[in-house]
Amino acid sequence: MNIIVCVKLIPDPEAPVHHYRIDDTGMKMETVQGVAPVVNPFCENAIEAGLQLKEAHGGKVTVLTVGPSSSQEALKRALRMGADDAVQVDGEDLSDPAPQVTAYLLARAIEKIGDFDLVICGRQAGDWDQGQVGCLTAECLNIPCVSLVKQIEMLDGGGTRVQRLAEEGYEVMELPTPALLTVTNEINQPRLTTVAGVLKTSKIKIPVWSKEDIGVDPDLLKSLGALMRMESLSIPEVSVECQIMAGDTPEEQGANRVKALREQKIN
Amino acid sequence: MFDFTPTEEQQALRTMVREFVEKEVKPKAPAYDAEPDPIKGIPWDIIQAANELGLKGLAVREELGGGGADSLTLGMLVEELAVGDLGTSVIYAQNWKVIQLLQNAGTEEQMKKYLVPLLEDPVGCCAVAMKESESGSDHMLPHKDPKAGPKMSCIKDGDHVILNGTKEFISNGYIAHLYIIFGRSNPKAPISEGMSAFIVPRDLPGVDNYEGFTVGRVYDKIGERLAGNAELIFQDCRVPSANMIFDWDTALRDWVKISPQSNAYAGASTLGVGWAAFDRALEYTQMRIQGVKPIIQHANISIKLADMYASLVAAQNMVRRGCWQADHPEHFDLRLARSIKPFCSKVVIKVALEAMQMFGGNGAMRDVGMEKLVRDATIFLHSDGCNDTLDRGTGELLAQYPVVR
Repeated sequence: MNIIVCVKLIPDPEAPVHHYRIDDTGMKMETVQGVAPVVNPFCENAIEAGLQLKEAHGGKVTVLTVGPSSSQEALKRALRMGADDAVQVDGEDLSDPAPQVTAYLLARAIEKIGDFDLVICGRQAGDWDQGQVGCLTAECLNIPCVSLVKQIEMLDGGGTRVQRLAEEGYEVMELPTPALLTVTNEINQPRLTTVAGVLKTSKIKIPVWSKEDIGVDPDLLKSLGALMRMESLSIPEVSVECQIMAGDTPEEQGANRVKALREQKIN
Repeated sequence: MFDFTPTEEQQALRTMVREFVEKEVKPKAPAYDAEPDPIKGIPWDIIQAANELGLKGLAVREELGGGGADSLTLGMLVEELAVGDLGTSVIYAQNWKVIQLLQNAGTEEQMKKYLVPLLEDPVGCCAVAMKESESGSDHMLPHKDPKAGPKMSCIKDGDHVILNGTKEFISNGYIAHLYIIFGRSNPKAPISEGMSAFIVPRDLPGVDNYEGFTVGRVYDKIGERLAGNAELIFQDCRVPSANMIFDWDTALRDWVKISPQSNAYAGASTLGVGWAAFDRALEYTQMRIQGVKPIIQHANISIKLADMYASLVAAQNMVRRGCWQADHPEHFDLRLARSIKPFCSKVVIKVALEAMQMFGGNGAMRDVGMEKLVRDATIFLHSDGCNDTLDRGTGELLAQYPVVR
């Protein structure tokens, strides 16, 4: 079975807040020197899900990203984990593209790769947390999509049965393939890279597809980009206030704490 | 000349090891370290997981199925492993050092016979044994008296050599499946002209054990506790002559030339402990408030941190240069090679103590972890050659040929 995994390189979400700042234009977030970007953690879950399906059912895993040349690092990470192929869609001129733009470009590239059973994406990226690209890509491809998937099972007669994370518990859904799934971190524990993966990757030259290569309609791309505009960007201010609860016993202090939280309408 | 900017491959391997350290080493090492019985403190699961990643084989040549990494890369990884735990780092420093030694000095037949099964062995490690109760770093000094140095005897008997004697304080001694044993083949000659070395397998898959070789006690050390440091006992142990590496009687002289990375890896191991202590101090001093501001904003603390940082970077550059020159014999300077470990260990014990003090009373609490770093930082003041011994050897060489700056 052939699986395409879409991945994104993002600023390290584990970096402390003071390592982030907004640039002079006031419209772009950047990190201080030395904070290395990482593969979006949900994308790592998607890579792992793809690799596990390949190990169980055969086939191959192709990883795909849209971004500048530096985004190849996300593809290399996937190859070091065990993915078979990688493709970068050149997005050098696209700074923080709108989800619609990314989805359109991914869909065109997926069509060019062709012959796939599943496309797997992370549920959202840890930079903007919009969680739209996966579902929009399915829409562009006109294939079924389930988001927030925490388990994937391939059915003998074709198609797939998935568990979708719900508010309480999960939903079970069956859908035909080809399909697109966005996965949550509950689905697996991503594996580490290996020596063999690192050595193999250092010899691979990853193909870069231009927008022309994947048959992008420039007017459509422009109109998709115009669907969203950033108005302003700011880092939330967090203030911490320490309260010592009154009470002669721990039980009394606890009861007072609950009362105070209720008064502040914090449930 | 050298450029120590990590290549893409080196950076990817460092990232791999850093993540392995975060996931497998840091969460487990404190409990192994705290085991009163050092045998129960052997991290078999960490070793197996590291080998599954391919760490052991990284030093093995590509044509034998390994990764073919150079000493600079391996030194970087020794350092990264030690950020997680010194003992774990020493396990791999020893593995890689012995593998490199065998590849530099062994025959093709020896490599196929021993390195290939070693690669397939899920937990097997390597050890090299020189130290005995009456002799430690003698081989690093120009002792000419035949009475000085190791006493383990090796006597030719047909196509075998019979080993008798006891080695002590051997890193990986308990966990190794492949040993390099140095013995006295000519007790009437000075050690540089009377020592030979042999490959001795133990429980290596598909390879027979030799009778007369047993592992004795496992040492209850104050630091580097995970490395299975042990005593090796040889009683009429018959080793095939085909297992000899280097030439008869000149193994010591050749070893110095053929294992040039040994002290650089030792420096890298202790350096990792220094970084771990520094990282903890940097994190804590930004968090700990005193006088309504984080203590990193107190002048005495920030000055100390700056000094610690500069010392560690200097030590790191020295380690990297030592690793690099190990693979560039035309630039190799034994004085530099032997200066690395003493310099690094002196830097690191100072950094570890300063870091612990920044934690105040918390630093003295065992569960905080700073005391482990201090205990680990003491180890390389003596391990891989006592500092004074190495410095004395370097001092004697200083006058013998010009120092090129």
